[in-house]
Amino acid sequence: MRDNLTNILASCLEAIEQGERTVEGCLELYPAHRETLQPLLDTATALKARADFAPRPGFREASRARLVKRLGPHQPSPAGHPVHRSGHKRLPVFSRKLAMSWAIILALVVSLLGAGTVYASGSALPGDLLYPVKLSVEHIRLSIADDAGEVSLATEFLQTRLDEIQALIEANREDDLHLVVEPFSDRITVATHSLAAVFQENAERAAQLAPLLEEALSTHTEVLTSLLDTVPDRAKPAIERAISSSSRGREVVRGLFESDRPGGGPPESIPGPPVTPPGGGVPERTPGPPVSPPDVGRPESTPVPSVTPSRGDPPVDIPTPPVTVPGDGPPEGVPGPPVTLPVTPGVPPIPVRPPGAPGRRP
Amino acid sequence: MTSSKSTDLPDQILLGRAIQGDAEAFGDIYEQHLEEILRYVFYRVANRFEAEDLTETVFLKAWEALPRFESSRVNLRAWLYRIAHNVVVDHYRTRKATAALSDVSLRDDHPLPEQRVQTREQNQQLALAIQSLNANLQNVIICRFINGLSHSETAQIMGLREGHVRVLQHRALKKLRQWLEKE
Repeated sequence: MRDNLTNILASCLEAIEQGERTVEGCLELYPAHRETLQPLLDTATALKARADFAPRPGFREASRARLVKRLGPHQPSPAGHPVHRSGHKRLPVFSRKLAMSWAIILALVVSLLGAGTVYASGSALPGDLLYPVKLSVEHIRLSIADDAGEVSLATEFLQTRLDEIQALIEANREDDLHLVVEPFSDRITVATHSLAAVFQENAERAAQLAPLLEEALSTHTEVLTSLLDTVPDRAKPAIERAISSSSRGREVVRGLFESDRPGGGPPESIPGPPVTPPGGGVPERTPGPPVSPPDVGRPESTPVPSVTPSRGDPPVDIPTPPVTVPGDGPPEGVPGPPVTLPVTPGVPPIPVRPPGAPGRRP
Repeated sequence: MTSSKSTDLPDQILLGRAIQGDAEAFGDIYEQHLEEILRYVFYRVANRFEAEDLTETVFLKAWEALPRFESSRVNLRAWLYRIAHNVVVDHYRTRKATAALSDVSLRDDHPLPEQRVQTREQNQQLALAIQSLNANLQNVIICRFINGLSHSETAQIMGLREGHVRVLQHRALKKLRQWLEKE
């Protein structure tokens, strides 16, 4: 594994937190990184030293009493409306039959390839012999899911792609990075198309899913942008393309709901798969509305009270703190108001499946 | 509500009682987690009074969602952080007009000893610095360096892999370093 600055920084911070090393001890351990490591470790130390916020005297007791007084009885689930673990609608009979047939196909694939092969493919990286098996299993799982399930699954697989990108970098396999960009973009397309299909059938459900997808994409963009700082030049084009795909995915998600504003009407189409812009540059950050955390890995049965869906919200006035980071352009800060983003020009529209229409992605 | 005050009981016992509707047990959970959730919210909104209100909202929402909570599948602490994140997000989405951040200190009109004034201003400045980052980087900084959580705890709260948290941590520290140098 590559001993890059990110990992060195993390291990130094852990050692300092556990009292195993001092800042100076870490710097002596990595003399080649001293110049870049020291300011980061000093910043972390300064942060800990400066953060001294505590509740006002008396607040704890007073607020506890206030809170307990406000707590009402728990609300049972409405009778006749059983809560399904996933919160998804039950599949119609036709879809369940379709899902059954896909399940049979999955069983056949497993029996043909061997359970061990399928299991082993889980840790395969792009360029490995078993990587196509891993992608095929994902594809079958997506095919079994309903539209809302597809959004969640595709979001989960996006995180897997991100892991693969990071694993390739850490294994000094930057030359294989280009192999992950296409499946990364494909999963974004699946997620956005499925979200559009959910939107057509149940706008409220789509409004619940959209922030999760949007934040996942936002986080991925952030991680990829951070990786860009640490990788050799030959790895950058692939990462820049992934960033571009992620940004476009966010635009699609936002565009879906922006077009639902008064006077907008439902969208007739959504932009197609992301394309690499000429030059493959990193798109500018578009500060957007903050959204809830991704539900990747979140147990479906334990919902986190989520953010108010932004659909139809008027643009909100979010003050930007008067702070700028030198050399970093305008502050990223508190995200700005929702931005109406145009449909990506030059990208052929892909029609949204009408409600109930059969057929999935090719 | 029959339980006695029992803030020293472990989360699981209190949680079981709270899920059954015991408000006092939930009050104990509130006391156990208040400080770190309040700190988290404060450094996200940079305003003590808003942070106090929002923290109460966090626990009210947690109470409402408690019957659907499965402790075997998710950590209570991580769950509370996620609710707190969502409440902060909602706060920024819905608030119309708010006092400018620079006016915040005017609201706290009790005279304070010099050292406390200095600490308060220092916290305010730090909160503003953290606010100059985007939400993901804010979460990493607050969880890791303000509330002292490990990489894996931070990853669980953010729904990310540890490796991604390390990457975000590196970037967040670089950006904050720039801010501190400017200061």
